[in-house]
Amino acid sequence: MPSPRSLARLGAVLLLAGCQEQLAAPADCPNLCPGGYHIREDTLFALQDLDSSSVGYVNAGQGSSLLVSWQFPLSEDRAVYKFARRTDSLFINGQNRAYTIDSLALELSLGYRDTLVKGLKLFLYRLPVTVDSTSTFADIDAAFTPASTVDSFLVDDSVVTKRLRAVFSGADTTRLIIPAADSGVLALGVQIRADQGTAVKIGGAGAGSGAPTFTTYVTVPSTDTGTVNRVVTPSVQFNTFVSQTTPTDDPNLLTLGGVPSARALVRFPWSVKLRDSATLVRATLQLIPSTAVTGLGQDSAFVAARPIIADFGGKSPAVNDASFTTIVPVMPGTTDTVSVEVRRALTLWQGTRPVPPALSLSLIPEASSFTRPTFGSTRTPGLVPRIIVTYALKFPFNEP
Amino acid sequence: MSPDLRDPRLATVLLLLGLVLAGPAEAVAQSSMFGVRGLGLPGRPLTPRSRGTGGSFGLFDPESDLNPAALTAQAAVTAGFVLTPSRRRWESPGGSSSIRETRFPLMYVGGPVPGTRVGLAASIGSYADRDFRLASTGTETIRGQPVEVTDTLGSLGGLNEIRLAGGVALGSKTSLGGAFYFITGSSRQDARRHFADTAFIAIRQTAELSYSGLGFSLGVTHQLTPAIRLAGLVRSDTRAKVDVDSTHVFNVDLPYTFAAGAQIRGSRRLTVAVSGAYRTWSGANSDLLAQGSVGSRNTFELSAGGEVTRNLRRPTNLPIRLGVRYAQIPFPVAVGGKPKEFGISVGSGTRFAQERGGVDLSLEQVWRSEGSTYKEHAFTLILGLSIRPYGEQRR
Repeated sequence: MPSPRSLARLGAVLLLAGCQEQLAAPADCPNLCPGGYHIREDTLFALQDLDSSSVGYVNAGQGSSLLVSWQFPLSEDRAVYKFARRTDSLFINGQNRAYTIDSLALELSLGYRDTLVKGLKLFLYRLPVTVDSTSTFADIDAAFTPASTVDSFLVDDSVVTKRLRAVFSGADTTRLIIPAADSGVLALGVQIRADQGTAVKIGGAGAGSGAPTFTTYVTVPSTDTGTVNRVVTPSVQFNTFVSQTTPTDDPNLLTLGGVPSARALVRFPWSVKLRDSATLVRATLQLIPSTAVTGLGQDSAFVAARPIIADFGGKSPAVNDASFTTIVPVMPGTTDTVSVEVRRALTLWQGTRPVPPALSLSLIPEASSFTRPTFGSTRTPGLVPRIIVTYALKFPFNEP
Repeated sequence: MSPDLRDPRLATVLLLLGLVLAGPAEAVAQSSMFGVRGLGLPGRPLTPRSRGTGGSFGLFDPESDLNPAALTAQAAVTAGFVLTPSRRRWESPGGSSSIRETRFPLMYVGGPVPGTRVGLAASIGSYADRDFRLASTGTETIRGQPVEVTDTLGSLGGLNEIRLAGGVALGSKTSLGGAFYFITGSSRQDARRHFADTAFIAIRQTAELSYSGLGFSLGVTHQLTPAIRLAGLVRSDTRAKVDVDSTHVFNVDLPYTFAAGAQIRGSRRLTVAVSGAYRTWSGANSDLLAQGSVGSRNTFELSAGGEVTRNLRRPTNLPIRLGVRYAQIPFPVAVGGKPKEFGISVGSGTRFAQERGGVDLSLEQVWRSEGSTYKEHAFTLILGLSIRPYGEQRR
C-alpha cells in the first residue's frame, strides 16, 4: 500500500499535470463568437486655419550637405568652406618649431549628382577670409574669378557619389599659400559647370566622414619623429551655401524644406471616443501636393511626421522618440498623395494624459536638399490634409 | 526535529496546502463549446464515485458538493480533491478540433462532529465553466478593400462556489441539511485580431469578468425501508453580479434547483440509484438577452447507475460502478437551440493505509449536441484523492 508520503508526491505530480492545456478550437461565427470586434473608420480633416508652415529651423550649412547649382531652374547656389586657423608651428619637446610645407591636400565629398547631366565639373576657388554668414550670393559670386581658381574635379558621368581629393606639391603649393594677413585661415568656394544646368550636393561640416578636409604635410627641424605628428589638419570653422533667389512661402500652402528650412504644424479634431475607447488599427496621414514636388533628379528626401509635446505654434516641441516618428520618401516630380502611417504617433493622443492632437511635419534632411514639397492646407479646397483612422471599438466582453 | 511525513495529519496538511496553492481559479469543470455562451457549462462538483454512477449517487454522497443532508453519512473527517483531465472533439460548421485540458472541479473537507449526529463540510466546487479559446478567419471590408482577418477569443475561468454545509440526523432514518453558497469567480478574457495586411496593426483587448452571488440549499435523506433511501434537495441561488474590470455591468438571475433521488440496495453486493434534477435557468434568459446573448432555458437532468461490491469484507476495495446520464444544457449556442448531453461512465476505487487514504477513478464518455450542427464528444478521467487522517470514527 502506498504511504502518505507517496500520496503527497502523487498529489504534487497530478497538480503539475493539471497545467497542460490545449484549448483552441475553431469558431463558428457569429454563434460561437460572443461579442466580436467592430472596426470603424473616420476621416479627420485638419482643423480649419489651424495648419500652417513656419520657417527658420535649420539654416544653410547647418545640415549635412551643401547645395551647389549652376543654371538650375530651382536656384543658383554656391558653397563656401572656411577652415579654422592653421598653426604656423608645431610644439615639439617643449619648443614651438616652425615647419616647412611639403604638400597640401583638399578633399570633399560629392553627395549626389544627376547622372542624366553629363560633363560635371566642380571648381574650387579661393575666397576672401572675411566671408561669413552675412555674405550674400552677390558678395561671394564676385570672388569666383579665373584668377582665384584653386583646382577642379571632372566627375565621371556614371559617378553619383565620390570622395574627391586634390593634392598640391612642389610649385603647386603656391595655389594654397595663405597670406599672413589671413592669419592662417583658408576660405574656399565651390561652383560647378556641366553640359547643361544642374546641381549637386556636397558634404558639409556635419557630414561626418563626408566633411571636407584641408591637410598640410610639413617638415619640422627635429629628429624626434616618433612623437611628432607632421600633418596639420584645421577643422571646418564655417560652411554655408548661398542662393541667388529664395522662393517665398505661400501662406495658403504647407511648405516643407527649403533654406532656411520650413516645417508645418497641422491640428486635427480628436473626439473623446477616439481618445478614450478606440483601439487604433491604422492611421494614415494624407498630404496632397499642390504642385509636382520640386527637387534634383532622383535625390530622395523624406517627409517626417511627429506628434508634439505641447502646442506652442511654430515653436511646438516635437516628440523625439523615433518610435513615434514616421518618415516616408518623397521623390522630385511626384504629384501623388503622400501617405504617412501615423498610428504610433496617434496613440500619444490617447489615454489620460494625451499630447495635443497635432502633427509636426518636416523634411529630412533639412537645409540639405533641393526637394521642397508644398502641400495643400485647409485654405486650399480639395487638398486639405486628412487622417484616415481605422479603429476597433471596445470589445463587448460583457456580451455573454 | 524533522517533520515525519508518515504522520497522516501532516500528510493531510501538505495535501491541503497543495490544494490551496493550486487555487480556486483553476477549480472548474471540463470546458465545452456549450460553455462559450451564457455563464458557461454548468459544473458538476461530484466525487468520482458519484460521477462513476452517472451522478445518480450524488444526492447520497457526503463528499459531493450537492446534498447537505448526506453529510450525516460521513464516518470520518475527510479531505480530498478531484482532478479531471479530459480530451474533447469539437465539431461545428466552423471546423473541428481536438482539445485537451485538466480541471479541478471539487475540493472538500468535512466530517462528523464527535458525539453528535451532525456532519459539517466546506468545499470549493465548480459552478459554471467558461474556459475556451476560439479561432476564426474571415474577410472584412476596410477602407473599401477586403482584408483577411484572424480572430481569437479566449476565456479562462468561470464561476465557482464555496459551500459551507451542515447536516443533522433526525433519528435513525431521516437527515436534514442546509448549506450556504458563496458564488464567486472570474473569467479572464482575451480578444485578438490579426490582419493579413500588415498595414493594419494586430489588436488585442483584455478584460476580467468577475461574478458574485449567494445561494442556499436544504436537503433531506430518508431511509424508507432497509433497502431504499430517498433524497431530496431544494436550492436557490440569488442574482449574480457581473463586473467587467471592476465596473458593474449587469446582474443575472441564477436558478432554483429541485432534485430528488432514490437509492436501492438490491442485495449485499449491488446498490443502484436514480436521480433527477430540474433547474430554472430560464430566469437568466431576460438578463442574458439584454446583453446580446442567445438566452437560456430550464434544464432537466436524469441519471441512473449502480455500484457492485466485489469484496463484502472490504466494500471500498475496487467496487465496480456504472452509470448513465442525460441532461439538458441551459445555454444554447444558437437562438432556439436545445443543447443536450448524454454520458456513460464507469469507475472504481480503493482505500489504503487502514482506510485512511483513498483513490477513486471514473471514466466518462459524453456526447453533447445541439441539433445536428454542433457536436462534441468528450472523454474525461475523473480522479479523486481523499485522506481520512483520523480513520473512521465509531458512533
